[in-house]
Amino acid sequence: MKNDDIISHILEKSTLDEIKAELDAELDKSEVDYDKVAQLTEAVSKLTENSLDESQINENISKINQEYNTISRRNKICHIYKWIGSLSACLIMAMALNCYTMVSFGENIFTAIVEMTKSGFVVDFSGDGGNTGTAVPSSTTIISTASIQTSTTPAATTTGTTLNTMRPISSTPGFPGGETNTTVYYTTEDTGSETYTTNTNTATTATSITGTYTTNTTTAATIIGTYTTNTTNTTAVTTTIPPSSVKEIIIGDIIDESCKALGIDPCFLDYKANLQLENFSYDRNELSTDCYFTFTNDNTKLNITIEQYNDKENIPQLLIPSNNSEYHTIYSNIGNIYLFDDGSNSKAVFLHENTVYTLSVYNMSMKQLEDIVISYSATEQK
Amino acid sequence: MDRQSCEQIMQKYYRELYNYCFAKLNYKKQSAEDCTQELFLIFLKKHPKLDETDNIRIWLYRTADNVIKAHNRKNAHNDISLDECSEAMNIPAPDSFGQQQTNLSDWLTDEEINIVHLYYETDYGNKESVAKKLGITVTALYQRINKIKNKLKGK
Repeated sequence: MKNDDIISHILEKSTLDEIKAELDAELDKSEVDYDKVAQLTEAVSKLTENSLDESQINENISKINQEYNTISRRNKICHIYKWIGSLSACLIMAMALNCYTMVSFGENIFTAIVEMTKSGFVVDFSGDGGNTGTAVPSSTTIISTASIQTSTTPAATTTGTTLNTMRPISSTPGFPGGETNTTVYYTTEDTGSETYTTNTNTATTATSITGTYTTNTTTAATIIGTYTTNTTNTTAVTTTIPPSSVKEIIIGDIIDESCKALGIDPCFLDYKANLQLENFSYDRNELSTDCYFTFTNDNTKLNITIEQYNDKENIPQLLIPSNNSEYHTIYSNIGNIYLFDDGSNSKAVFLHENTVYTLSVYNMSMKQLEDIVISYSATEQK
Repeated sequence: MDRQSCEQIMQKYYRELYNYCFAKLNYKKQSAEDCTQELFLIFLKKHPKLDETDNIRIWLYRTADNVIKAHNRKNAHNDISLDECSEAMNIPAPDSFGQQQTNLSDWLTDEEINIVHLYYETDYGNKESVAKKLGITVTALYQRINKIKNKLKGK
């Protein structure tokens, strides 16, 4: 290139323009070489004497950090305001709802919540025809018939009696295991407890025996048909039995005899045990007829309370004493049976038709109580 | 990406992105600083969503483009191009130089003539090789060329 051409080139554009043209050309490429872009832009800054030194860069970065922190704090405050807004709206809605329930139903939601947290929860019996089975709390542990069969197989513990858990075959659709569509209602743990008397019997001897335990369980399948499960466990067991002076009785016979005299036709408790009736009392009032049975043997006690209400509407709303009470449910042919495990003083509650049954045991295991309650049958089996 | 990594990235790329903004914003220092600050604020706001494996450099350049566009839109009314105002950079207009029929050797040293020859006899994109040949950086090459231009224009 000749000198004149070079000079004309030199004077044609400023260096900045040249760099800018080069920068634009680079940025127009599909794959930009950012190293080259950095070089060109650095040249621009240096030529115009506007490049930053380290102290300026640090100062600017600290400004950015400060600004960012301020924005973050502001955003947090905004976030809190949003929450406050939402919570206030919820509170207002709760208050409005409470006003509505107070006016419409006379129920204070907050009071109900306090009751629920402190005293357990309320189960509304009203309008429950005993056919829906919807009153089962969510925390209920469902024990199927099959599992009962398994669980009642004693691990080398039985009282020396043979337990027959034969179930009637039921083809009721939707109730595998032969359950009828009967709903069990809650009742208090303490129902009828005032009339219980102390067992004054004293044990004289304890004898160990070896026996055989057999469980036969027949269950009905759903719509498909029926199936039968027979399980026989032959287990050598050793357990304490009461003194020989107490005869083995069928508890249901004694209860039936007493109830029939009062015009009550209870579910039949087909359970044989070495117990004797220690006390029986009843109370008849305008709402119900209540029978209290106490069976004892030595320091073992079984209290059975049968409350037959004249009308289902009269069955009161009752509280389970505490949310912490551990209980589970057995679906049986007479309905749902609720069992409260309290060591050796367990309780079972169920409702059949308009009669509430409450069973309390003392110095008996939960398994024994389960054995007793599953021996109930809706129809007499005498 | 944690905050410490963000700090390192800012230290590493602040100057580069400032230079980029400065070049793209017609050499306005204040605007370049504002845009760079805005760019890194966006980066800090979005850093939890950015992965360290992402190409942060490209992300920063693209975000810088968006910030510059937004800045230009906002300041469109008072934006004056450097081309329209060359005296702002104290660069004489091309036609202000009247002695085009001049021998380079009259005004420039041999080394400067060599640089000029190398510079103008190569296309754009080969400046790196020229700088390499001269044993200087590309930035230094541009600075030397600018110095030569000013020298010639002053004559």
